[in-house]
Amino acid sequence: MPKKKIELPAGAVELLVLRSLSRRPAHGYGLIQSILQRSEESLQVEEGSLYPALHRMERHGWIAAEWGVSENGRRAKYYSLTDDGRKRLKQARRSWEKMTSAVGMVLGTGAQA
Amino acid sequence: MNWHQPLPWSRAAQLSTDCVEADVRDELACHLDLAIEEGLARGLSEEQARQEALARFGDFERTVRGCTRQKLGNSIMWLKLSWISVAVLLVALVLATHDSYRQRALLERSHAEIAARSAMESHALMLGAPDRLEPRELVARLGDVIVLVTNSHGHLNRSETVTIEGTILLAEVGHVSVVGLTRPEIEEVLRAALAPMYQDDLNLFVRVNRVEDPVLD
Repeated sequence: MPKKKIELPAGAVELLVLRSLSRRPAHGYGLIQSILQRSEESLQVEEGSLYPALHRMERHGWIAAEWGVSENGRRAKYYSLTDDGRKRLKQARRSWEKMTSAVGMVLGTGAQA
Repeated sequence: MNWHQPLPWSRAAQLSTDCVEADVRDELACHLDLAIEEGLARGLSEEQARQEALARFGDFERTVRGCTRQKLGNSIMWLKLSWISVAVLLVALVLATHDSYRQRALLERSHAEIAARSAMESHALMLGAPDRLEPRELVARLGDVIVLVTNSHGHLNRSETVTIEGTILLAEVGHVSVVGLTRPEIEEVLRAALAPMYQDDLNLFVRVNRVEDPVLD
């Protein structure tokens, strides 16, 4: 039975994409699959959220896009992390950890609870 | 100008939007192809795989619009602003050039007027005020002072007294008989005498200054 998908909070898509691309360049479809596999099928990034986020990040210069050929010989647009993207990932990761820690404290599930 | 036609920056912006949208559409179509391929690999029919991929994708057109907007960001606004700036600069340049030409024309006109007025004033000074000019009928007689004025050849400006021979002596041409001639006649005689020496139009004027003579008057 497939797991119930978790609704992603604001900013999470950006963080997940940056982290995935820090491992290796990928196309949009590959990113969705990668996030799904790594989250053990819990995090399903919607195409309607992923692609606008990719284009926004590209505009900010955090990722770079280039047309290429996929593993099965299909044409696809590949995204890779830029230096600015790496900085952004560190920053976004810190913010995320701070937020989850704070939420954990409120819920009484954090380290200081 | 046809106001129904889009403005240049609108056309450029539209062109840019079209290119970006085409690229986004291409990318999303590739995504659907990969999703269909994965469905086929799971044993679905082509139609089933297509339906599943489309259903999972959601609103394709909305995603295209969202991506296009994100990708363009403020670039359309900047493009419009740059076009407007260029247009404003061009208008300012045209206005400045026109103003400069107008100023120069006014300046030239004013210089010409000043020169003309100055020439007229010096002429009048030499000849005396208009109301003091002698009548055309006045004929030169012995002892009168003939005042020569030219605008073009300043060295000819001088005063010569009518000698006892009824002539005035000009260094350039010698004696010229003027006695018994009216002012216009003297001008004509002098112009004719000086003409061989001055090829151009000799703009020569004459005034006859009467010296009061108790014997003659």
